Amino acid sequence: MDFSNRKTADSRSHGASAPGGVSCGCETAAPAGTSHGCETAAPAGTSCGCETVAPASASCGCGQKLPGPAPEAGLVLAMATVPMEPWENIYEPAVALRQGTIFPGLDKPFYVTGGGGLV
Amino acid sequence: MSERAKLLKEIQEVGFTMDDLLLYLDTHPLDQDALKAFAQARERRYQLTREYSGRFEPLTLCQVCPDTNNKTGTFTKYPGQKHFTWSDGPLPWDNQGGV
Repeated sequence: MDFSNRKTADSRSHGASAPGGVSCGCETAAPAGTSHGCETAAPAGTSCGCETVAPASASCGCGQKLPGPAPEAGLVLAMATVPMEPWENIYEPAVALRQGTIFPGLDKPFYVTGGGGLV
Repeated sequence: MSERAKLLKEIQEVGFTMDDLLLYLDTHPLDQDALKAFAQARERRYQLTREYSGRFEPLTLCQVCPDTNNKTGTFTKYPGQKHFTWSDGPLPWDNQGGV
């Protein structure tokens, strides 16, 4: 997902008004991973002057740092919950070595290893 | 597959089971089922490596025993002589481990 063209809805305080009274909202910190909209020309042919696309958590040139740390481009933050693994009857050693795990519950069809469903 | 290769493969398989149980037991040190499985795998691997070093070359330095190692005289330069059996067996770069 590309956020580079997303303009934040948050355009509260406008100090640096662009010509024509239109502001790009440059002084408003944008959430990590989103653009604050500086790269988008303001309506009616006006510009805020911030022509550079701001990478996440870097400065766009407005003198304001975007909040960080930011995830890789295109990724969003999330919270994960991983349950404790319960015991289960394990594979025989020969099967386990072939499948890469002793636990049937963890024997997933991963691409890289070819998956190798039980034969 | 030779008897030697079959035995070696079985040792690798049960060794893998021990390794995976190790990871599980790191986070479940009180799991009695896992402890039982680990004890079984450990005993099995111990017996297999003992059998292996008796018939073929020792796999660890602790198993080096010229009187009991390599009864089949496989991959040795000194058949029939009492010798340092650590040097028996194919060298890794000879790529004959599975032979």
